[in-house]
Amino acid sequence: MGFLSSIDISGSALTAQRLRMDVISANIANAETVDPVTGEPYRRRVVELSERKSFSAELNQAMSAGVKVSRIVEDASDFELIYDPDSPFADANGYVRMPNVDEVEELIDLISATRSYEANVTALNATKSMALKALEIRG
Amino acid sequence: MSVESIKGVMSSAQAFSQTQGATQKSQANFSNILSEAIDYVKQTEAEAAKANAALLTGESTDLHTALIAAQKAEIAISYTVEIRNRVLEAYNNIMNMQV
Repeated sequence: MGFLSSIDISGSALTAQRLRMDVISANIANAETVDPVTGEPYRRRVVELSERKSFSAELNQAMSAGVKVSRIVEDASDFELIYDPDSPFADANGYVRMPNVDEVEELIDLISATRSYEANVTALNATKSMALKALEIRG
Repeated sequence: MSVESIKGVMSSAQAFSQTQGATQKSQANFSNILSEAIDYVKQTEAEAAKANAALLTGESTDLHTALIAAQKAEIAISYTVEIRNRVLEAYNNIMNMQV
């Protein structure tokens, strides 16, 4: 590892959390979206995070290089059923399928992503100030 | 002793150049070590400029990548300046010796 690549670990986490934030915002924005043509509701999306590994030639083993978003999956839980018999997409019993987005859960995820972002910025600042402190070694 | 201080500076500067993953065996003289440090500064500065341009043109959507690249360049410059100062100090120590 270069002497500044530890900052890259925090940088990768910032990128991952920002992507997670995008997905959460998309979920909140599409909480009531139904496709106007097919009547298919929006399905909630979830981000899967995994560890990013890099090979360290000095230690001859895989080292952790932060986090990455491995994929964005669709939540397979059931759609919400809202009783609306006048809608063109209503089924035989008058129920319309709405997206399976729970706004409260999304807002909690939003807070979690924000706090995670802030924690990684704190770690990055600590690493940087540690590196700068080394300059104060008097010769 | 001036000779010891030069050895100390050279070994620490050598350690610095080795952590850059120098693939070829660099010789232990001042010009090589200092030029490697300057190359590292040039590289980080180029990365910072590229990240900044990507952010301004909208190509990159992350704010933090440009800032992190700029921080790395700043730290690299500080380190290079410090190394240059120590090397010069050691050199002056020798030159000021009464013959």
